[in-house]
Order: sequence, then structure tokens, then C-alpha cells
Amino acid sequence: MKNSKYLLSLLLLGAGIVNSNAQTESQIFPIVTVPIPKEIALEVGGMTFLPNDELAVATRRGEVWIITNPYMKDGEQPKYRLFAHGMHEILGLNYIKGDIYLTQRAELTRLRDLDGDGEVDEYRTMYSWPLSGNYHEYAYGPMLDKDGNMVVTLNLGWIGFGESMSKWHGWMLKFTPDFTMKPFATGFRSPAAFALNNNGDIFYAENQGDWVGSGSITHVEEGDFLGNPAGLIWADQPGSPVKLRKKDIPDTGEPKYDVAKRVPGLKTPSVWIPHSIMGNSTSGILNYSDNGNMGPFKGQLFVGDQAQSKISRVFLEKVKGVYQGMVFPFREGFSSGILRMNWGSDGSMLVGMTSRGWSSTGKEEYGLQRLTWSGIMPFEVQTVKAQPDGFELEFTMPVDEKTARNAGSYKLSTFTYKYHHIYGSPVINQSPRNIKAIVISPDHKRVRLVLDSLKEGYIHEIRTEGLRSEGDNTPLLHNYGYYTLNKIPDGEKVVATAENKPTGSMQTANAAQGMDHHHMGNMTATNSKITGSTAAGKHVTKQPISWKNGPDKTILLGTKPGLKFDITNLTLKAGTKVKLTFANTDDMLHNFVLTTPGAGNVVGEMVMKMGLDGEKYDFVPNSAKVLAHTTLLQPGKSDTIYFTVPKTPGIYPFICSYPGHYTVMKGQIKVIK
Amino acid sequence: MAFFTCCATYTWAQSANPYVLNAGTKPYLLRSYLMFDGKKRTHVISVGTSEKLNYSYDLKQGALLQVWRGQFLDVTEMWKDRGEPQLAKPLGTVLPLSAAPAITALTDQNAVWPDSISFDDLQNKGYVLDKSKMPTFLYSSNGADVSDKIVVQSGGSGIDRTISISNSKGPLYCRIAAAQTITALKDNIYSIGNKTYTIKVSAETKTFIRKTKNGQELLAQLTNGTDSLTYSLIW
Repeated sequence: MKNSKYLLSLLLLGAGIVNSNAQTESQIFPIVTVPIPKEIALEVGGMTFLPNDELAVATRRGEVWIITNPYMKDGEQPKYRLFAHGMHEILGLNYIKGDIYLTQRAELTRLRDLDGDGEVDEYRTMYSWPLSGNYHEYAYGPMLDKDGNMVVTLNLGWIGFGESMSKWHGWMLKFTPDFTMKPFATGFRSPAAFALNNNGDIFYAENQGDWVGSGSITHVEEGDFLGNPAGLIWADQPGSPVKLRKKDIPDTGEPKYDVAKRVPGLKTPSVWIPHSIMGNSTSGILNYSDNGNMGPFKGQLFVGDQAQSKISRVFLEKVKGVYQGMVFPFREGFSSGILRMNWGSDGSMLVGMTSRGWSSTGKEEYGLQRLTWSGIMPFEVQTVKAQPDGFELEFTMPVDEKTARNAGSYKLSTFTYKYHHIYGSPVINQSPRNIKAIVISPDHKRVRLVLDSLKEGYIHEIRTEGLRSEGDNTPLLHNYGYYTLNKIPDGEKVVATAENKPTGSMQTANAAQGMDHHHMGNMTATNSKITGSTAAGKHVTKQPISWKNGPDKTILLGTKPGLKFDITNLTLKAGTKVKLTFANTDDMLHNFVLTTPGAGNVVGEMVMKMGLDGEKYDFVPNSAKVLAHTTLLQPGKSDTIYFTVPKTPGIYPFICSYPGHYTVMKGQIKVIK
Repeated sequence: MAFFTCCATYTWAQSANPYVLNAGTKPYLLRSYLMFDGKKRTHVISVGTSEKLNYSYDLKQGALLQVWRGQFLDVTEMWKDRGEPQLAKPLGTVLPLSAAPAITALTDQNAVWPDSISFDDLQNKGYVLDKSKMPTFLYSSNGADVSDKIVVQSGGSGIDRTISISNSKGPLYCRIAAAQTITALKDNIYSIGNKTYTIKVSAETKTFIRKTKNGQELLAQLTNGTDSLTYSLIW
């Protein structure tokens, strides 16, 4: 009865978490919406502040708006004026050395208002690159690197898989001050954002897709190959610093870290951002420099997510010359899909958004919001540093020693992803880690967890649900995160003694169940874990023998761009025997899930609680509300299922249950007598 | 509403289709992909004017692709959902012109006009707007710096195009028109393609008509290192 035991531990845990001291994100980091005039479709592609503290915002419709007083100081509304227009899907904007630069699909552009009338009259092409005409050929940047070069990235096209259909797509390019182009690195798939950390090193954000098991941020150096082989077709061109060729890249589904060990030049992520837990679509990166005022996290990176309308926080450290670190939840609940973040002059964070074409948790088509810090100290894990035998957690305020000493306050496990041409990856090679010793610093602000073993190259999930603050017994604002352990540091190991022996024991359900899918999950204070469906009767792929005359009805269901089924309304008689083929012709993963009447959203929400296991179960929750479903389909794939229409007339929703898709990718079967 | 928004440079048709673009009091310029002559062009800009005379221009060929009257562009395939296939569509009957570069260096007067110029042989440098916000396109090719100003005639009967070169190392040619038939009328006026449209070249420009495999071409030579020509296209 391992499940009931697990449930019990959940209940106990839940009981401990109900706490009037609990901090909330909205209390500590309030979000202020910057109003947008209704005539303006502010689909934010790029943002930059100008020297006079006006905010310039570039849009996917090719405009540049200048916004005065986005802070709404003195109770005044912000003012918008159109500065430039007509460019081709601007996805980067930056004020550099006295000029405004941007990237549009075809080029790096400089804007100038020569006659001072407040509108641009010189649209200067600084560098132009070829395009095949694919919609997925986006361009991002520019950003100034520490040596004064401009950095731009070019997206792969999409033709059922990512492809570099024209020169330098899938690359990061650098431009010297005289705009000589130097190819810098390749292997990019959808490099929508990049930023410098405090050391001036470049980090870029990648999105799950082909050759990319999960989103991540990665340190980019000259000559790197980041993982998607499409861009390698240009690696033999003059000026390319990349030594690898397409034939060098194995497609075995092994962990990327393992492949990189025998393929020098293949770069692995600095920090994985586990898919569907921490985000679906990694976007903007913002270095917490002295310009920001967002709590005690200076020097860390904030990473946006377009699909989940939220921001994560990343602590980085360099071990044996390699960046690695921990991603934590930071703030959710933004109004649309986050693409860009910038520091305002008051230290608040301007967050620019668009969700057009890709659904986001925040339901607005576009938006501009400002994240502020109330000044209240959040109780958070401030940093996590790798140790030779475990991790050292540093807290923003002292922890209660009793909870910190208790192994039952923690839960640790390791996993990774497959590296292959297939879109995304399930979580693989999961296993729990056990705590051998716990050392608490005299000031109670640091806790060293000594583990039975570490797994180099793996993602370490660190959950700290049982910890409380010293004195007022406050739970952590966020009690989990993911450390990517690229290198295990050298140094002294802790010797287990009676003094550092943990009290209590780690949740036995975890340790005992091993590979069982229950043991990992996106369990937060109020959410209980949803498990995956294993009911074969809901995914029937062979015509039932009892259907002597075959199906009564054959349905071919497809996709339309922008997260849509190509059929959204079906009317069927109760009891109809249906053969349904769902063909995914989109560029993302999709499935088909038929639910009981009124349960489309419920099932969609359940999937959000499936945690790391979601993909393994095709994002189909174990629920009586699910009547029939296909597998999760790769782009270009299809699945045929057989089911019988329910006997009770009514409206039966069907959805794509991939996290976040259900709100827009849906239809219904009207069942009649 | 308490917002101040700048002068409406353009309007979205308020009614049925939010993806219909038109110039307001000022021209609307839009970069896009564009189908022309059966091929998807990727470095195209279209210019819509309040006179409802519109044109498309290939920035990587220096080519005036097409002109049309009426509404400007339908951008549904760019601005709706993900924007596939990212094509702008002219709203009106277009007069197709040519995708070939306007300027080239010919080895002799009988050399064939090139269909295109390769990507790396033309450096597009963008465009500048005049007081009325109409563009002059800038590029270099064939060893010369080229500016190409295309504006709408007051009264709206056609467009005026001025092509200027500077720093040219040798003589260049400009192809003003290509068609099955080109007929020279009086005063530097030519009827193109059996009266499809009319070209009027400025008096000081020396032009000549030559035969090609497919018909005829109206060319002008730009002899000097710094030179220019102006013509009007009326349709």
C-alpha cells in the first residue's frame, strides 16, 4: 500500500504548510499593470530605456512606441507616441552608444530622427542576412558584449523540424563597431533571449524542441555548438569558429551531458529549466545588476517564460571553470506571455509581453507590467552551492534549527533528459538521493546537506517543504528548485558524526518507490499531485473485435497554426463507434483528449499538476473525466484511436492537454440521441 | 481616454478586418515577405500613400516590383496568430513591373540584362524619409552608391522615380522598362506593353530601346561617376 503511505505523508505535509505566516508573491513582489491605449497592439518584441527615462517598445507588428512615465508617477497616466513603424517583426531593441538599434527578420537596423520631429526618418540597414521566407526565421538582439561588439541570434526555420534554410540561421553572430560580421557559435534552435551576467559572460535562453529536451540557459563562448545540428551546415563557411560538422553529432537519445563527454565542442546547459514545471518557453533574461531593486538576489539572473507568464530566478556559480547553478520559482501571474524584461530607473522591472500564436497562462494577447519589490524580506533559498558531497543552501533569513536538522524537511532526487532529434524529452533516469548529514551554520543562514551521492551532469531537484524560518515559523515562499550539476567541486567532505546526524528521516515514500512516478512532482503548498493515466481502455489503437461492421464514423482531425484543432464542432449520435485520426501538422507537441461534459478546463488544469512525469504519460491525467485520448504527438505525426460516443447526450469537450494549450486548443462533440 | 497618442500615421480599418492596412495622412511603409512572379521575396518593402497609390520594392535588388491603386495591404497572414506564411497581400489590381535589378553594368549595349543580383553583390543600406515621409532607398552595387527615390505625383496620376549614382567606377545602365513591345511616342514618352502603362523620361536623359529574346527594353546609360535620371510611371 505504498500509495496510501504516500498520501499520508502528503496530508501530513499539507497540514504543516497551512500557516498564517505564509508569505505570498503578490505581497512581496507586487505587479503593476501599465495601461495601453486600446488602439495600440503592443505585442512586445523588444524594449529599451532611453537616457531620458522614456521606455521604447518595439512590437511584432513592426512599430516602435516611446512611452513616457511608464511608472505612472504622480498618478499620471503613461503617454505613448509612435516613433517608427513598418519593420518586419521586431524581436529586439536596444539603445547603444547614443542610437536605437533593433533586429527585424532581415537585418540589424539603426533608427535616427534626423530632423528632430519625434519620428524616425532614417532606417539604416547595418547588416542584412538572407532569408528563405519561412515564418520561423526570427532574429533577436542586438546586445552589446563586454568588448563593444553587438550580438545577434537567428532562429531556425520550421519545416516539420528545425532547419537552417538560409545562411547563419541557428547562429549567434557578432558585429564589430564597424559592423563587420563574425559568426560566433551555432547549435541554436530558438534563441529568443540572451544577456550578460555580471562578469560579462553571455547566457542565452533556449526553448524545448527538436534536440532540446527542456528549456535551459547556457553560457555561450566562441566556437560553441549548443546542440541543434541544423546550423552546422554553415560551419565550414569562411569565418566560422565552429569545428563540429553534422556527421559528428550522434542521435542516440543518451543524456546530452554523456554525449558531450565524447563530442568536444558540444555545450551543455548551465542551468536546465525543467519543462512544464519551471516553464514551457524560456524567454527574456535579465541580469540583477545594481540597476534593479528586487530583493536580496543581486548578481543572479531572472528568466522569463512566455507560455507560463512567469519569471524564474537563477543562481549561477562557476565550478572547475564551468557555469552551473540553481533555478528557483520567483514570480508568476503576469498578464500575457513574457518576452522581455528591463530595469526601470526606480529599480522596478518592466515586463513586456505577447502571446499571439502561442498560448500563455496570462490570457491577454499582449501586455506591459511592472514588477516591484515591497521591501518585505522574502523567506527564500537565496543560493545553492555545490559541495564535494552535496549542496549548501543559503537563506535570506535564519532558518529554524529544528526543521533544518530534520531530514524529513527535504526531498532530493536526480534526473535528466534525452538528447535526440525528437521534439522534447520525457524525464529520464530519475532516482532519489538521501541525506547523510546536515550541517547548520552558527548564524542559521546556511545549511549544508551531505548526500549519499551526487550525479555529475544531472539535474538535482531540491525540495525544502518542511523548512521554517527562525522565530516566526514562516514557510519558504518557494520550496523547490533545480540544480544542474555540471561539475562536482573538489574540497573537503563532511564526516558524518552524531552532531550532524539528521533527525527524522527523508520521506520514505520517496526513497522506497525509486522509479515510481509518484515520487517527483510539482507539489506546492496547496496542490496535491496528479498522476498519469495508465488506462489502456482510453487509448484504443486497434479496432475492437466487437465492431463487426467497422466504425460508424471516421474522423480526421488536424491542427491549424496558433494552437487550434482544424475541427472544433462535431455532432455525433450517442453510441456511435468512432475511428478518429489526429494528425499533428503544427510545430509543437499536441494530443487529443476527450472529456466528460464541462470538464475540459478541469482536465487541462489537472495536467499542470502532473509535474515532471507529465510527458511520460502524454500529459493525460489519471481521471474519470478523461474518456479517450491519443498519445502526445510529435510534429508531423498522427495517432488513430477508437472510442464509442457516450450514451448520455450533452456537450463533450475535447482539448489538447499539453500544459497550457487547453485554454485555446479545444473543441466539442455534441452528442445527440 | 487619458492617453496622448501621436498623430495617426496610418489607420486600421475599424470594421470587419483588423488586418487591412491603409495610410492615414502620412505614408505607411511596411517590410514583409511578398509573392511576386511566383516567388516568395523576403526583403521587400511596400509603400502605401494617402493618394491610394501604392508600390512594392525589393530592397535586395533595387527593383520596383509592382504598383497598384486603392487599398494598401492585407496583413492577416503576418499579424494573425503566428503569422504564417508571413505574406503581405496588396489590396487591388497590381501592375507587375520587374524583379530584376534596376541598375547594372553591361559589358556592351547588347549584353543580356541580369534577372537578379546575388545576395552579397548588393548592400542594402536602408532608406531615408523626406518631409512628406516618402522614402529614398539606399544601396551599393556594381561599385557605385545608389539612391532610389520613388514618390507619388501630386494629383495621383502616377509615380516619379529618381535614381542617382555616385562613386561609380564605370558606366552603368538603368533598365526603365521591359515588355513585349515598347513604343516611343513624342517628348521622351514611351508606351509600355501595348499601352499597359506610360513612361516619361526627363528630357536630358538619353534613352534607347533594344530588342531582347522576350521583347524590348527601355534603357538609359549613367555615364558619369555621379549621375542620375528621373522618370515618371503613369498608369
